[in-house]
Parts: sequence; structure tokens; C-alpha cells
Amino acid sequence: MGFGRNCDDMQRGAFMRNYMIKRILWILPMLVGISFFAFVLITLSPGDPAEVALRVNEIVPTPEAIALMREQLGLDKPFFTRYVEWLLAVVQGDFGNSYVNNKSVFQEFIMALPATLYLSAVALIFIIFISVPIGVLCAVYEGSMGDIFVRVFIFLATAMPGFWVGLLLIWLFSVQLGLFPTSGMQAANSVVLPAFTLALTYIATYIRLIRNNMIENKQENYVTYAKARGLKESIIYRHIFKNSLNEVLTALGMSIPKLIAGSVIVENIFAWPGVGRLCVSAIFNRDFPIIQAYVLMMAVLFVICNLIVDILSASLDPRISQDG
Amino acid sequence: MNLIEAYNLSISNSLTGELIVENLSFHIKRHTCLGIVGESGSGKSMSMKAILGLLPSSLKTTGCVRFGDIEMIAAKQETLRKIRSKHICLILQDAMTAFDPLSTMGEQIIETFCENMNYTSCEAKKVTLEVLNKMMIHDPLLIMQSYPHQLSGGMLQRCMIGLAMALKPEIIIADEPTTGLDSINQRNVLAEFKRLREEGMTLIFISHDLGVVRYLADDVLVMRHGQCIEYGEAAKVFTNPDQPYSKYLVDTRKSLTKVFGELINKGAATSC
Repeated sequence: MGFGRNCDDMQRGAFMRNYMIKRILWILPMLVGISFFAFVLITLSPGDPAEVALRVNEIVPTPEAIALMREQLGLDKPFFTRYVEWLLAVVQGDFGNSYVNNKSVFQEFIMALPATLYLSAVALIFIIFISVPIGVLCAVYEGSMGDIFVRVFIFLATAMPGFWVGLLLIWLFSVQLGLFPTSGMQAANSVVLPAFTLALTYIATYIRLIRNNMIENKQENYVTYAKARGLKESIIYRHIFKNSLNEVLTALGMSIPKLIAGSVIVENIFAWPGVGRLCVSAIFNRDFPIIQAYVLMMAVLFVICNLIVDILSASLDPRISQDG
Repeated sequence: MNLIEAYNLSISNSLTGELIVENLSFHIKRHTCLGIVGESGSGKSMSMKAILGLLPSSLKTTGCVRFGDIEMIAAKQETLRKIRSKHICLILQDAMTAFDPLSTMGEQIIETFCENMNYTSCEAKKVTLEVLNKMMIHDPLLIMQSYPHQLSGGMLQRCMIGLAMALKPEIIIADEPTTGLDSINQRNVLAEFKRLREEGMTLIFISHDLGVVRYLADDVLVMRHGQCIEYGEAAKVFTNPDQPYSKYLVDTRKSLTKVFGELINKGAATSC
């Protein structure tokens, strides 16, 4: 037994390492593909960025002015040349300048990113601290009145669109009760409403995921044997919880980039000065470099979070890390 | 003296109303072994789980099962929890899935001792090592650090048996402990049970392997479709079964072993 096991472990460890290296090497072509796709889509979208840039800066868009602007922005060059130039600049860390105000795109993002990260982090805290205890309690008291009530809540929360919930919350807590500010991020508690709006659908999803996973695990053979071993309910539920967690963590890891990307709508409702709002105004202004940088940033975020989740779940479940 | 007395034990599915086990009555004396045989789905395991209150709530159990002064069917979960392990130990059929896959074997065995024997974790660890040593498991420290999927079914089965022995219950219920094991592991596991019998342990042994039951049991209960077909002394049931179904089981086994014997003899003859 002893020797066979160690040998196996070593082989599996090497397999896992190769797998990880392969995964990391794949990141680069994936990002190039995504950015190219985004470039094509933006170029195909109607509206001339040169014309919009002129209008935003209150210059009359005469044909001559537009032609001059196109030359300045480099829009007169062929599509592939523009893409390759952009790509080469990005590799060197230069994301270009905004078409509208000629500021560095990188600077704009650095300014807006902390607000978005703050919002997403608070939303994530809401998600974890609300859905884990409620999900566990629902599984423990399966079929009770509380469980039924929560299931109705889950149903409602997943069915309501985020922007509508946001407006309802503003009406109730800001307008009627005056507890929180309606928008902006000046006050210390201004983050509560946007973060909760952002978190709500995830809270519902995770309550359901944890509850169902734990209820499923209750039927497992190891639970029957744990009961037969005379263990206390609390210890048995600890085993069940541990076994239900892996899937939840995987989903949660993938939710983090979704939270950051999904803040677009919430940021616009609550006038939150983050990257989501930056991106939406860039879309209206046909400000290509900003949109392009936003897409690339989100792609990087998704790919990296995905990788981290894979590594994490492998290290949490001894079966995955050894079976490859 | 009877340790367990069961009268008219019935199990039904409360959703569909289907009757799974019907009016099962049996008893078991101290220091004896009751063998329960029958094909899969005949309700053998279900009856044992019902006694310990381990069935899902959708299955309804009726009847009367007495363990000492306690009526098990009507007992509260907390009462049952204290009986499980300390007084009645269950060894499950599917050893591969019987342990929490995310905890090491050491953690799981130790927590069982801490819960039932009031050991400190240090004492529990010592006892665990003793148990594993007693079960002839090489390198017990490695086993304790292993996760269930790293061990073979036979190894896990022996851990379960070792755990049951160390808890010193009054009865051990073994639910098809040899199913799913290769023949070498089967033999080792059976040897453990034989040793348990010799030490005077009261045993309920569930199996569809008549040979195994014959090897261990004093009394036999034959089940089919949730009903008791025949119940009596093992020697009598195996040599002179009353019921056609028991006779059919015994005869089938005889004809199978006959073919096996012929093949062995033929092999021996040709090799000479």
C-alpha cells in the first residue's frame, strides 16, 4: 500500500503541474482573441467617433473638421493596422488616450477602479454573510415555515431585475425613510444601497445553492454512517457543510468578476463614479479606447478568477488535486 | 436472554403507500449471531436501519422493537443517538462511500471516539492506533492521514469493523460487509467477524451469500419481498429448509459449488 500510494501521488502531482502550466499559457491567445472580437464589434457599430468627439467638445462637425479629427485619432488607417498598433501599445502598457477629452485611458481607469472595487467588495461581503447562514439554516430546518418563506424570497429576488430593485430601494430607504443617500459616494453609508442591489440576485442564488447542496448531501451514505457512529447533529452538519462548499466556492469565484462587470447598471442608477459608469458614457460617446480597455480588463479579470478558482478547488478537495 | 426483540416491524413509503417490509418478527440472544439472508431489495438493510432510526422521514416504520427497556421505534432521535455506536454498532455495506470524503480517516475515527467514549483527542488518537494495529493494518499513521478515496474498499471496511470493535457495543449489525470486496479481502474481513464471534460479540449479519451466513450464524432469517420466509436455527434451515424459497436458495448454492468443485477437481486431475 505505502509505496504504491506515494508513487501515484507523485505522478498525479506532475500531471496537475502540467495542466496548470498549459492553462496559464492559454491565457495569452485567449485575451488576444477577446480583444480582437471586441475591436471588430466596436468598429462595426454605427456612429462616427470623430463626429461625436467634435460634438462633445462643442465644435461644429464640418466635413473638413471631421476629416482632420479622423486623422488625429488615427481612424483613417485600415482596420488591421489600427488593431495591431493598439495591441502593440497595450503590450507596452499604453492604452491610448480618450477620443473625447484626450486624457490617458489608463489614468481614467485608475481613478474609477477603486470605487468599483469598493462597491463589489461590499456586495461580496453582503453575499457571503447573508447567504451562508440563511442557506445552512434552511437546510437544517428543511420544510419549516422559515424555509418556505426563504424559498418565496429566493423566487422573488431572482425574478426581479437589478435596476428595478435599485429604484425600489431608493424609493423606500432614501425617499420614504431617509436612511440612506439616493446617489453618489460622499456619505459613509452611501455604499449600502448600491451594494445590496448588486448583491441581491447573488444572495438568492447562493442561498439556494447552499441549501440544495446540503440537502442533497444529507442523503449521502457517509451521513447515514456518521449518524450510525452516534455523532452529534452539529458535527454531522459540519461534515455536510464542508462537502457542500466546494461547488459554492467555485461559483463564488466566478461571481467576483461578474460582480465587477455587473456593477455597470447599478453604478448608473446610483451615480457611483466607477468603471461601469465610465464605460457606459464611453459607449455613448463612441470613445473606442476606453471601451476597448474596459473589455480587455474584464476579460483579464474573468480569466484570472477562473484560474484561481480552479487552483483553489483543487487544493480544497483532495480528490480533484489527485485525479487531475 | 434476548437483547433485541422485534415484533411486527413494518416499513412503508408514506408518499406512495407502498409496503416495503411487512410484519417482521425476530429476536436475538446475547452472544449469538443472527444471519439475515435474501436477495437485494428484500428489505434486509432497510429493517436494520429502521431499528436504529436511520431511515429518511419519507419512510414510515411501525411495530415494536425492544432493546432492553427501550422501545426503539417510538424513541426520540436523541435517545437513539446515544444507543447508536455505544450499544448498537452498524457496519455499512458500501465502505467506499461510508466516510466523509473531505476528512481524513484519523479525524473521523477520532471524532467518533471523542463523542462516544468521552476520550480526549490525545487518548482517542492512541486508541485509534491500537485499533488499526489490531486490524493488522500496516502503517496505521499513514492510514490516519489518508483520505477515504486513497484507501481500498477492504481497508475501509476493516477500519469500520475495527471502529465497531473498539466502541465495545452490545450488538454489531453488519450489513453485507463483504459485498464489493475482492475474495482476498473478503476472507480477511470474514476472519475478523469469526474472531468477533469467538470473543462473544452479539452479531446480526446481513448477507446474500449463504456460505458466509452458514459460516457465522446460529439463527437464520430468510427474507423475500419484505417478508419473512423462514426463521430458525441455521443448521436446520440449511440442511432441511421448510419453505420452497429457502430450499431453492440452498439448492442453487449447492449446484453452484458443485460446478466449482468439479472444475477444481478437473484442473487438479489435468495438472497431475
